Amino acid sequence: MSAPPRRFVGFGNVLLPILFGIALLAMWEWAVRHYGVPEYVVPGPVAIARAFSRDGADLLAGLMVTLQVTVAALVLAAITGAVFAFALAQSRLVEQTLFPYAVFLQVTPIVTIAPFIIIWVSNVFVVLLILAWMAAVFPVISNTLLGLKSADPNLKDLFQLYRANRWQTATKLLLPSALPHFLGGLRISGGLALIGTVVAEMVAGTSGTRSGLASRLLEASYRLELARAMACFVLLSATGLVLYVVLDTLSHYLLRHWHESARPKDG
Amino acid sequence: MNGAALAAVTVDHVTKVFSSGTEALSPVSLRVEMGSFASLVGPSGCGKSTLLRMVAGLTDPTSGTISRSWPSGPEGIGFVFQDPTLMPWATVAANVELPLRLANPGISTAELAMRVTGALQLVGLQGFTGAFPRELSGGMRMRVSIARAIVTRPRILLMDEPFAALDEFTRFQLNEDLLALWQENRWTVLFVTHSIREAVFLSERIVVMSPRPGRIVADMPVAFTVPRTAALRDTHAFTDTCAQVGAAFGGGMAVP
Repeated sequence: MSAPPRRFVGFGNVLLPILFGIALLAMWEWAVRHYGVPEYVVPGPVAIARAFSRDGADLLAGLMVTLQVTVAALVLAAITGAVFAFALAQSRLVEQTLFPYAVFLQVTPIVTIAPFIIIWVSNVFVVLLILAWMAAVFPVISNTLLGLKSADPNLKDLFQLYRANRWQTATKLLLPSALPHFLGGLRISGGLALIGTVVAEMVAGTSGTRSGLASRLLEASYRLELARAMACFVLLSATGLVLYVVLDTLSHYLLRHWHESARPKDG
Repeated sequence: MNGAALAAVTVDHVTKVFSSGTEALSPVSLRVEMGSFASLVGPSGCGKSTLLRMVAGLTDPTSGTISRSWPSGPEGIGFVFQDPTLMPWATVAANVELPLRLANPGISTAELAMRVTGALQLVGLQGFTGAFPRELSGGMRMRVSIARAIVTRPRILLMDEPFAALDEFTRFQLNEDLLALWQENRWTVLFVTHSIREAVFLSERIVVMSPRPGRIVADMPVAFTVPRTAALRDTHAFTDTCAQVGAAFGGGMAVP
């Protein structure tokens, strides 16, 4: 197996952005010190690092809560999105009838639905899960549907020629054809699930030891502990990045033998 | 032609009008004898591929009948498309065994392996069972496609311009290999092409079709003795026959 995607390796791809980042941080720290900006207005990188070392365990606990919701919402979105897309692909009539509702999920700002969900559902985890799922599910539906419809027509003829039944056509032709599209949708959904979770946490206003990282960020900012808030922000960004890399690697691994998107560059 | 030979497929006054209203075929009648190699040649859009798809049962004729000499079932027909049409996510072996699996989900692994190996051997690809289509050249992919078409031991092999997308060198090589396979096994082959030279080289009989709406304007035997070899292409007789087929093309164009 060819290990981590080559895209993330090499001087141009890794070293340059890192050097740029370090330069940026240095300038930031210098500016904060030079102009004597107080920490509750703009904390410098050093102050943020201090917040990390002081509240690390606490923040990680928050991250775990956020991550749980995000991953659960993503898995749920992957399953329900794929099943829904498959149902839509069964007939033009079903698609015409139901697809507008999928679009409705996509275009509705989830913040506006949050108050209702909070009233109807008592379990906070479930509230967050529902909202994050709503944010994440559409790309899976729409991409998988596109994939199911773009199976090679000649291969469809071939399956028809050999009298393949619906089950055989679905499992041996439609699902593999849709896989690259499904994975593409999942990559988008990963980011959206995290955004959905963060928004949901901020709206649902959870507190206490079981609160997620976004709620803690909000709390810290209310108390003008901007270094701690920034530390939360950095962790959330890193989480988004890791999520993307994980999904990208998964996609690359599953498609490594056959799809153009996973073709080795030297091949 | 030899009336005593059994017909593999009989096409009787078949027409095809697409749902768009385009008349693809005006009445066509054709009898393909068992064990024969017949080519359908004609310009693009003359309905030769449509005729082939109707013989395969992939499209229904608008009128007329097509009768086949075997009981209906998935194993009667081998079809080779213009593109290799392989499943890119499946290995060579998985692609070739697909027709067997679809037709008979309970087939044993041993039987599958035997049939797949046999078919791959015929097309000269033994040892490539674990390769993915991406790793093969265009010519090799087409060989896999042919192996998949013959793995069910079909009663008729339908080939829809299978070599049109290949470079000339590969195309000649595959022509020669197909010819050798046919001479050895005497499959019934209905071969669609727009290359006169390819048709003359391979076939016992050439059916020339007119531009749309397609109909048969000439039906000529190709009298070269079997076995043929690649050297045939360099003979005067070969060039003369190509010219005759070409003339039939011209005649077809002249008649409204």
